[in-house]
Amino acid sequence: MLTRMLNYTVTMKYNFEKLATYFKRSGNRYLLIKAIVLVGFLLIAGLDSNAQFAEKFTLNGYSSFEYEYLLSDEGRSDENGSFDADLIDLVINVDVTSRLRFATDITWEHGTATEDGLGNAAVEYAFPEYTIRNWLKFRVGKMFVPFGIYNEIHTAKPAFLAVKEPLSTNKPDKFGGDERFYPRWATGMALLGNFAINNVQFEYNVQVSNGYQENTNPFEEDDNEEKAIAARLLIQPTTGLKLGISTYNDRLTELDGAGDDTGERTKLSSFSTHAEYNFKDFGLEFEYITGRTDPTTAGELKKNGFEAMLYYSLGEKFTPYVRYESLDPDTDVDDDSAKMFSIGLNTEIDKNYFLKLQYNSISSGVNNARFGGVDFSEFQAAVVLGF
Amino acid sequence: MKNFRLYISIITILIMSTSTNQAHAQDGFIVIVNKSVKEESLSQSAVRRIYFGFTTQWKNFERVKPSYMTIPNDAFWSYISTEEGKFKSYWTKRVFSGNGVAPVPMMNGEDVIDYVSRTSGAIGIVPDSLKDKLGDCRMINLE
Repeated sequence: MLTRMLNYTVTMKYNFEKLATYFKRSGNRYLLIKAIVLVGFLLIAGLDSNAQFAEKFTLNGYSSFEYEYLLSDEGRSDENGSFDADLIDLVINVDVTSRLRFATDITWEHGTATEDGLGNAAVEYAFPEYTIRNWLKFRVGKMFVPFGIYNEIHTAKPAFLAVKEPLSTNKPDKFGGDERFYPRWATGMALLGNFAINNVQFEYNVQVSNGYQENTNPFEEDDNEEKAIAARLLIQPTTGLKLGISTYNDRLTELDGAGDDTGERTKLSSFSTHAEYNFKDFGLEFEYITGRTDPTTAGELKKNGFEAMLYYSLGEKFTPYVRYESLDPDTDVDDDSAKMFSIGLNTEIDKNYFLKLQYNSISSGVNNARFGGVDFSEFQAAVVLGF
Repeated sequence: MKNFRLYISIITILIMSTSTNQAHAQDGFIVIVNKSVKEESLSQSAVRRIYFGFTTQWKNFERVKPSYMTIPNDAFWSYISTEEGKFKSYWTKRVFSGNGVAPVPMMNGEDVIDYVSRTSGAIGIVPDSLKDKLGDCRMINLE
């Protein structure tokens, strides 16, 4: 209903602005009144077509406001206790035809002000999805890489309990690792769908894309001939249990000192197992990722990330949770791992409007590239809205 | 091998514990569809797959457009084997990740009937007390 009203309002505003400009110039008030009556008539006549469009158009979105404060004397956290206008996203779906859906998520992060070079505006994803059958759909465009529990919802803060997604599995580069297990986004094509066998639900997604690269825009141009392949299979044996496996395989271009392609490729492969389970008011999730980076000029790097979370809903409004996560950024190096224990409370203040309060305790080995063995604790809070 | 057996055992226990969530068809509501829908009957699992966004097309390839009542409706939630909070959370993830459009929430059964009547491909679940007020939509048999 809101979308329809918005649609009518925009149409009316556009028509009246044009007419008002014309009649202001001509000074003919009588004609203006006649025109208003005419536009009103046309609007009523056009209600049916507008209603048809409104049925095909869906607008959703979310916003997030965050706060972070270092509780210890030292540590890699925010000692100033900063407020962060984290993001606002608009999610648009258009059912173009019965088979064709267009979906996009447009984001403005950290109080975007492009004139001042502040923040970030981006297309999170934008793709048409063509449905051949429920078990066979086809997408082309910019998409999230279908990997693990969190990547497809990593910006959608109302979609998960904690203040942020787990760093160990989603942002290892901010947890002492050198790079991520997989890129956030990819441009390419994907086949996906779902089917059921004996009431066991299967969902798959296979994506072919330009892959990971920094020397060109990966959403416009590939810097090598090898395509990245991501795939995920989700299995739901019952309503409360979801099991999944994900993989990402890529060949990264190796560059020389001048930034030119040497013709050599670094193999990047990651594999994840993940599970989500809920029964009545109790829930848990876990994800384990192992990744391998194999450059031609150096030895192979292996890394592992793990996260597990337990939660319990109290009367649907309050959901306390605990989360543990760990990262071993290089399995051949001792004392480089990082661990985080989090305890938090997610409160639904109003419909889809949440307050999140979270305490994190971070510990690490002396060889961890980010934390260097300095243990610390921090407080995080967020107010998020989904609509 | 020992770890593998342990893993399988844990999954089996989880499946058995959640299988008690499976609800059975209950009296008190009817499933209605727009007259454009050709299906004569649906199973409980088929209805559930529609409301969870797995089935997005009818057999004639028309897009499925589910709607539901937001007023307390235990029979509906039981029939699709979930709870309102979990359903909402599920669709929050699915919509924001770009994986579908959520079922349309309506205030009450009359609004669901109105929506289903005027929307091609629509389906709704309403109290059976409204079965004499279906307007331009029709009841569908539940298997």
